[in-house]
Amino acid sequence: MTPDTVPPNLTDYATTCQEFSWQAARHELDGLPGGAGLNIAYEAVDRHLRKGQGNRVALRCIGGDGHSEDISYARLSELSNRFANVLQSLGVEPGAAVYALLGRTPALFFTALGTWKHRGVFCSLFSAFGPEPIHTRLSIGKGGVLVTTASLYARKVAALRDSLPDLKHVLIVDETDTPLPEGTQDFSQLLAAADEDFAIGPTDPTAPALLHFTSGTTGEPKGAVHAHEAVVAHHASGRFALDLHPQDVFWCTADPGWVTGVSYGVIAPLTIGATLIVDTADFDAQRWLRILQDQKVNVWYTAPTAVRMMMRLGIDVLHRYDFSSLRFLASVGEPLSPDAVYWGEQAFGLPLHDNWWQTETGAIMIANFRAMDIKPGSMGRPLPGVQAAIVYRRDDGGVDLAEEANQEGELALRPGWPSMFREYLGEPERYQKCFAGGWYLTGDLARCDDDGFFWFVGRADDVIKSAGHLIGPFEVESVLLEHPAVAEVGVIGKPDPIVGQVVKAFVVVKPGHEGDEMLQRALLAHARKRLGAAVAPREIEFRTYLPLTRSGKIMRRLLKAWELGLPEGDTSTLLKQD
Amino acid sequence: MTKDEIRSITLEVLGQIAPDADLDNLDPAKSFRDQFEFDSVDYLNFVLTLEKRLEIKIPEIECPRLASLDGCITYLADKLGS
Repeated sequence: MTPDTVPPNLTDYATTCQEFSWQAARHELDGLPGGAGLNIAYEAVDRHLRKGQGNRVALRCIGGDGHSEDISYARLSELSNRFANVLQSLGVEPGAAVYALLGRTPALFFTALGTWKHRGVFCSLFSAFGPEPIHTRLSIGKGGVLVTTASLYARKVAALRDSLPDLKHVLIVDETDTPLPEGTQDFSQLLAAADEDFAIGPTDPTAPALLHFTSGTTGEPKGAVHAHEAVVAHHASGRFALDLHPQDVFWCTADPGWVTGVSYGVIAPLTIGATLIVDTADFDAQRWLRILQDQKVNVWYTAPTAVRMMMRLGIDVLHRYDFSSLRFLASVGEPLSPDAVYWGEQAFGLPLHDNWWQTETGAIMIANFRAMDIKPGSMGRPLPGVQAAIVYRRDDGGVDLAEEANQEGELALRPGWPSMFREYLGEPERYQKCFAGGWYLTGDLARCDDDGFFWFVGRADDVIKSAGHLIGPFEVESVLLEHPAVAEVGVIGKPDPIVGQVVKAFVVVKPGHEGDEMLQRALLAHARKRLGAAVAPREIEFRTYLPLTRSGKIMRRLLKAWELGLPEGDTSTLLKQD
Repeated sequence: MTKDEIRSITLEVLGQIAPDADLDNLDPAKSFRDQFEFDSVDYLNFVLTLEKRLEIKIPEIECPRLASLDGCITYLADKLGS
């Protein structure tokens, strides 16, 4: 079929919203045989086999050399069965967390799906994290199993293994013949020795299935937990917001270490029965264009940073490729600027459709749909089944709704969609604080126009969005404070035309230390080793004092004002230390 | 500019962007990404800093040629007419 002969899944927005119910959406899925509940892995893989679709290609894995390997739905079912049996033989209890620290590799899929079959909780960590963020996240989730590579293990986990008492099993996925690190087991050997059949046990739809970490302004990262029934929202949003059809070749470029890479890089497209492109290599603009062309990608879900990096290539380069298979382009991660939407039209003959959601929502909540005119710069309209509003928090714990269109306020969602997070692991109070007056408060500032389109304004807190990664300033500040030369530190997101924001640290040095280039490099090196390049600051600036509140907290708002040369605003609570 | 000068400027810029990298033991033929933590944002900053430092324009389409130290020296020598 040519792209324009595939009808959109969502044609009449108003009618679909009116007729939609999550209960009905659940019936689009099969449920475990015999009414034994709802399990993500069954919906993603096994049910297709029962319909005679086992031979269809589930994964097309592309290596760094361009060589590709196909994995069918039947093979994916078998390998995930084997991994479920491995977990059982290791004595891992259902409900326990199984972690992956992997790039985009086939093993990631076997691990995720096998974990769900075993009724464990799958948690994928960003492989560009340094040892510190990995250690924190393994500790919070009491991870008992970790699937990773020998190289990642040696660089990021081995030195801290002794301080991870819950981590009983480390399984090494390796393409080379390097010897197994001490205290680990061989993933492939375990899989090969395991039984290829596995019967998924009864699965309560509300049982925990996914653990995704996200960052706040203060404190440790938050472990947002999602249930098996989240799959209902993954499936429905994959159809509506990404216009995914069973015959599609779909490419989600997100890293599996973030929620997009799991919700839409694994679950949603598999439940629909599409073929997923799994590119194991790092970002390279021209390589990506070749993949779009050569793999005849129909639907592409990417991020603004990647788009802006590709825009640097110049439109002439793009016109050398054949993108006639492309039907739908979508983007998430940061707001997509209007020029990027127009660039999509020039480059591919199709606009880029921005959408909005976050770790806590588990699935796309607001989107520009295929059968709807895009408003460039807008995040779009709420999905069927999603109620969104602009609200203002009141001191008594309630909220007031915006009375008119175009008023800026906090974006809020009415709870009830199936992929809503069910807890922050071990932090009930932090979870409760996200809700007020019967709404989930997203922490994003937005406005809603007269036509019901939402527009992103900014974050209500100090969390940094850099190249699509959510970074908590506290996590970065803590690591810098451990350096012997650092007295005080404040970290902000500095606006950047390509990556949205770059992490920048303002540092006050201790007496006896000089804030010179040598120290700047030493601090950068320290932060990069501990946090990883994606989280560490890219810039460090020395100051003689930092703006503090009377209670001694860093005023990041003022640091941002310094950076941008803006007026400093109300400084009545400021205590300057000259 | 001699190739030695290009080499030392390239290493200096690398050291600014990724001061955690062990540049003394760099394999000049292997890509930076295969030897130390160097993500796509680092790579972009590396290219932009080289552009500023050498007062040249490096088109995005030619950036893959700057993936290794040898690649950088060959490309930049060519570009600067060394």
